[in-house]
Parts: sequence; structure tokens; C-alpha cells
Amino acid sequence: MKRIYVNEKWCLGCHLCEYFCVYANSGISDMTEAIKNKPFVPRVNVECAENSTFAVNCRQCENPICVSACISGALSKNDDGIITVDKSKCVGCGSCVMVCPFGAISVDGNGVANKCELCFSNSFGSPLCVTHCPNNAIVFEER
Amino acid sequence: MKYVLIGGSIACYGAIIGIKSLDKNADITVFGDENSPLYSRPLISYFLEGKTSKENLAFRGADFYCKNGVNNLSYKITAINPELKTVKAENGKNYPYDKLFFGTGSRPFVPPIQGLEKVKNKTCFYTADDAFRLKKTLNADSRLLIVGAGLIGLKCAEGCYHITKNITVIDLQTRVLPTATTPKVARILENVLTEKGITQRLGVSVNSFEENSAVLSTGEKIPFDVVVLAMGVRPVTEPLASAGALTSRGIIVDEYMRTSVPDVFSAGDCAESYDAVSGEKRLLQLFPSAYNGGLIAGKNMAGANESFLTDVALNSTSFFGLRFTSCGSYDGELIETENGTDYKALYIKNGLLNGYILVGNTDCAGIYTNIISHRIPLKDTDNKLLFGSPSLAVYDVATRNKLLSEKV
Repeated sequence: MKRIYVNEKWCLGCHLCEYFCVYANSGISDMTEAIKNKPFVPRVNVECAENSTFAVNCRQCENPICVSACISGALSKNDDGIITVDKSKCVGCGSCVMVCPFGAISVDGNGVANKCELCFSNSFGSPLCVTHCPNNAIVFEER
Repeated sequence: MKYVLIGGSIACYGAIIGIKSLDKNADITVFGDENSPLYSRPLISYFLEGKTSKENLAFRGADFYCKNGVNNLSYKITAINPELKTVKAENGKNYPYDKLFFGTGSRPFVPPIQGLEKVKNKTCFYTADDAFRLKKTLNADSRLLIVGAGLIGLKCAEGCYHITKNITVIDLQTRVLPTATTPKVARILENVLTEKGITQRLGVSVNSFEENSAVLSTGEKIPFDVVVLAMGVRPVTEPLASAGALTSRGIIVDEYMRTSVPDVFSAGDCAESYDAVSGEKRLLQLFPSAYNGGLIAGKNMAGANESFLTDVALNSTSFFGLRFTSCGSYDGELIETENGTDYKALYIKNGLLNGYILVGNTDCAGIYTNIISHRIPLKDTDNKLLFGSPSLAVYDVATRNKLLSEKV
């Protein structure tokens, strides 16, 4: 399956991926309206190391330990291999946050799990962080 | 291959997934004594709270057994015969197995307390039926007494708070969550409960019960309408112990989740398995341990040879909106950070992270968990970042590049 891969040496630290992520998953067609004065909980995060930056989102693990730790059944792997959150089932216990070794899952403002689903279930259909990365530091491909 | 599984909760669920991953045509029979579809026990407090529905307690779907071709029989198993490789059910019938999984879990511990039999409205807080019972019995005017201020007792209090505000929690220990946390964190959580008007009587025990009151060790009498007994759980080791399995506090398993009885595997609350932090066999009795132990057992029952060496104590929940996540052992040099309502404790020993407690902000807790469970030496991580805010940036650039450029 196609997954997101990150090449740290090309990351400019611009955080555009975060903005496009929040926009893509807002369900709002106007970007300003989707982001300005709203809670900002992106599913991709630009991390800062010493003299370097890089984006991190869900790696869509083959054996996802977030799914095994999920007590509510909200997290599951779909037939395409994408790990999805059923927000109606999530109780916000944070078990997924506790076990994700990449730090790629958070709990959003509504107290439910928030993670990258490769934009497959929003209106864009393919990862907007990738499309809008100005330096190809984030790619979406088969490896 | 004929697989027989005894139990029917999370460890069995893991075992089924493990078996099916390698043996698509497995002949699997689960013997459970709850007469219910597979469900998630930690959800019962969220059910009372209204955060999940009765249907969703069956967290992997009501048809999980059916979908996986699993035969589910609601008979208690009364004996195991390792020579003949059969289990005997309460209906008197013997069922043969090639590989047996023992996942009986635990049962609530209720010490003999004088007068307990006089109390009409009493329950443990362990099964879905316990939660249904509480929901039916409690109303907005009910006085609820919870005996035990561990995780089960406190989550019960939070769940029931949505029905009645008149709640008293008592514990023999002088603080809440005596085993899951430290005195300092206990104080934070006690303040949260106090703010909600939940009465806590700590360092006391119940000497005796009347029909509608409890007499404490202090002589004080606490009136109630409903009592919840939440004094911990004990592993269920029978009938495997009688069949000759080595036991200590639970059924002893090796790192392949094998018991001392040939072709019999075990995991979950009933099993004592390897704890990566202490390096010793321990009863972990937690959801991830049960699932992952069951998964490895299932795979090995189906012919794999996998070991489970990364298990650690893990808890994640919230109390009235305050997030709480902990991992490992609170053993070692303490590095503490406080920031407003956020609290973090890291425990370091011999150059290794042994445990953590996070209250409030639990972001990226999995970075710590991974370092603890895989015993990654702190000489290999950027500890200024690690002790501050955890992220993949704690690893060196080569490690990061590998993690972010390869399929995982």
C-alpha cells in the first residue's frame, strides 16, 4: 500500500503540512474559515530536533499497537490497510496515545483520538500534506 | 488443528487473532461462563457515564466470534486432562484439544466482612452485568458507597456520578490509587474528586455491614443505599492448577506464553508473565498485556515461535476530564516537572527509563512507553528533549531517518 514517508533533510520547518491537514479534515471549503480562531489539532506535527525539523504522522503500521491497545474498538485497520478512528466509539481513554511509538496520535478538543487517515475519508481523497509540501519532504508512495 | 480456549475476554480475543493470522482454517472453540459476546471490560464505567452504548461494549462487533468462525459455548470448564488432552465442561461432556489456551482471567476479591449478607443492594464492578445492575439500581437520590479507591473504584465513581452525586469512596490505604500511582499524584486526583463533591474516607476499613450502613474501623457509621465492592481482583487458576500447572500468584508462563503443561498456553489476568522493567515474572492484569500476551500465545499455538519480552505495566484513563497515563515501575531517580495543572514524573535507574506518570498533558506518551518497554538506553537519546517534551526528535538523525523512511 501507499504510505507517507518523510525525508528530514528536505524539511524547511514551514508547518504548511499542519495547516493543510487541519484544513483537509475540517469539512469547511474556505481555508481561513477552517483554521482562523479554531482549535488547531493537526494530525501531522512538525517536530524540532537540534538544528533540524521533520514532520511526523501515522505510519500506518502493519501491526498497529494502537489498535491492539484500543479498549473501545474505535481504532481498526480497514481493508486498504489504513488505521481509522470511529469517533462515535472512542471514549478518549488515551491508550493509543500511550502506546504509539511515533507520538502520532493525539486526543482532540472533543476528547477523542485524532490521527492521520491519509485523507482517504475527507473530500480530498489523498494526503493534502503531501500535495502542499513545498520541498517534497513528505511523499506518498509504495515502498 | 483443534484449538480450545477457556475464558472469553481480552486474552482470548488476542489468542483468536493470533491463531487466525497463521491458521486460516483453525477449528476454534471458546468456553466462556458469562454468556455474552466478546466485550471490553474497561468500557463499563464509560457505559455508565454515557460515553459508549450497550451495543458498543462488544467492542469488536457482536458478530466477532461468528465472523472468525469461532464456536462459542457458554459452559464452565470444570477439569482439564493433559494426558488425554480433553477439557470437561459442566454439562459433563469432554471436549478434545490439540492446543489449549487458558484465559480465565481474574475475579473480584471480596474478603469476608461481618454482615455483608444483610446488604441487599451490593455489587462488584467487574462485568457488564455489574454495570447493568448499577444502572438499574441507582437513581439521582441514591447514596452510593464504594469500598476500594483503586482504578476500578474510582472509574466506578466517575461512571455513577452521572446518575447520583452522593458518593463516598473508602480505602484501607491512606490515598487513592495506592498501587497505580504515588502519594503526590494521588493528592492531585483526590482534589479532583473533592471538587466534584465525592467524599473520600482513606485509611479506614469496613468492620461490619448492616442492611443500609457500614460501620468503619473508626466506629463511624456510613449510611448507603448501594454498595460497590472494588477491593481488587485475584487470578483464576482453576482448573489448570489442579491439572498440574506450575503456579505462583497466577499461572506461570514462559516468554512464549507456554504453561508448564504441554500444549497449554496462557495469558491475561490469570497468568504471571515476563515484565520488561523488573525482568521478573509478574501479574500485570491490564488490557494491553492480556491482548498482546494472548496474541503471542495464539501465534505460538498455531506453530510460530515468538517471544513476548516487551510487556510493561500500562494505564491510561482520565478522571473527570483530567488525563492520567502511567507506565513501568516508579523505581529510580525521580525527575519531576510541574506546569500549571500538568504533572510529569520520570523514573530513571542504571541509565534506563523505568517508568513515568503523566497527569494532564499526556501528548506523545508513547515515545516514553517505547523507550521503557524496549529498554532503550538513555545514552542513545537526547535527554534534554526527552525530559522536556517527548517526540521522535529524542532519537539521533540516523534512527529517525530509518523510522520515517521505511515501512513499519
